[in-house]
Amino acid sequence: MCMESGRESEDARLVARFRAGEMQALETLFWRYADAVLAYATRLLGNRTDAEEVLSEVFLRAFDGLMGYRAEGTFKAWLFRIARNCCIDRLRQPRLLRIEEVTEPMQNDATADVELRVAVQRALRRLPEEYRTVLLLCDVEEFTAKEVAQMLERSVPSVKGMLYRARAALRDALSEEWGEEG
Amino acid sequence: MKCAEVRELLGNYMDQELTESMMQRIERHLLRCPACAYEARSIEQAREMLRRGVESPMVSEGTGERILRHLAERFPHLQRSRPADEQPLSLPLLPED
Repeated sequence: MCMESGRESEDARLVARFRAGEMQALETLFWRYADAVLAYATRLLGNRTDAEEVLSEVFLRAFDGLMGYRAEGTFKAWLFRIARNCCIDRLRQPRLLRIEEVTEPMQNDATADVELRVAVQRALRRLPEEYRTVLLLCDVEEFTAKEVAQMLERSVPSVKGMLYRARAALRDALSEEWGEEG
Repeated sequence: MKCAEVRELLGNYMDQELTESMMQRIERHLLRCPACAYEARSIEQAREMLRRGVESPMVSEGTGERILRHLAERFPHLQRSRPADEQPLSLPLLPED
């Protein structure tokens, strides 16, 4: 919690330096969140190629909007809200979306790890976008239900209800993708 | 507690958002009710699999530099200046012997 608030105050300092016209602050903010945004977009869109294209758009929109940014929530939550909107725009243009079947195994990956990753990737793809969104934001990125409610412009009980349904849907999708073997 | 009540609160139970006494009431129910216990365990397991199984790609240096060049063009007013506290220190000149 302390680490998180330390991160938040450092973000606030960087935002102030960016507003004061410092290029270094933009670069630091970018590298601070580039991996997290790319990972989120890859998981939401289902492929890395689209996610890399979205990544550029996310930071462009973020820095464009940073002058008018009011620190109501954390910078990270605000950035992820932009990332989600960019991904939604992408998903609404299915002709632009690439379908990559499975992830390339990484070096030193155990077979079981690859199988799990492929199963999770396929299971996520089977879920509606809003289920993927709450699962990724709450269970992977560990945003609070209140933060996610602000991002999605919903009430906290609505997010909690959707999260529970999404977890159950993920369980069902995973058991079809992975659990029935052997 | 009835199963319907437990299912209603299962999400809050998993996220440990209930009072201690309510957590214990649900735990007691889960010990006696295999259907609700399965529901709780299987959803928790799926959540754990999600955390372990999601992809975590990283931005390559080339991609990052390309995006930063694009951003620099978009915000030409930004200065590559060093804050005062990072300026190199100038050493005082020592008197010659």
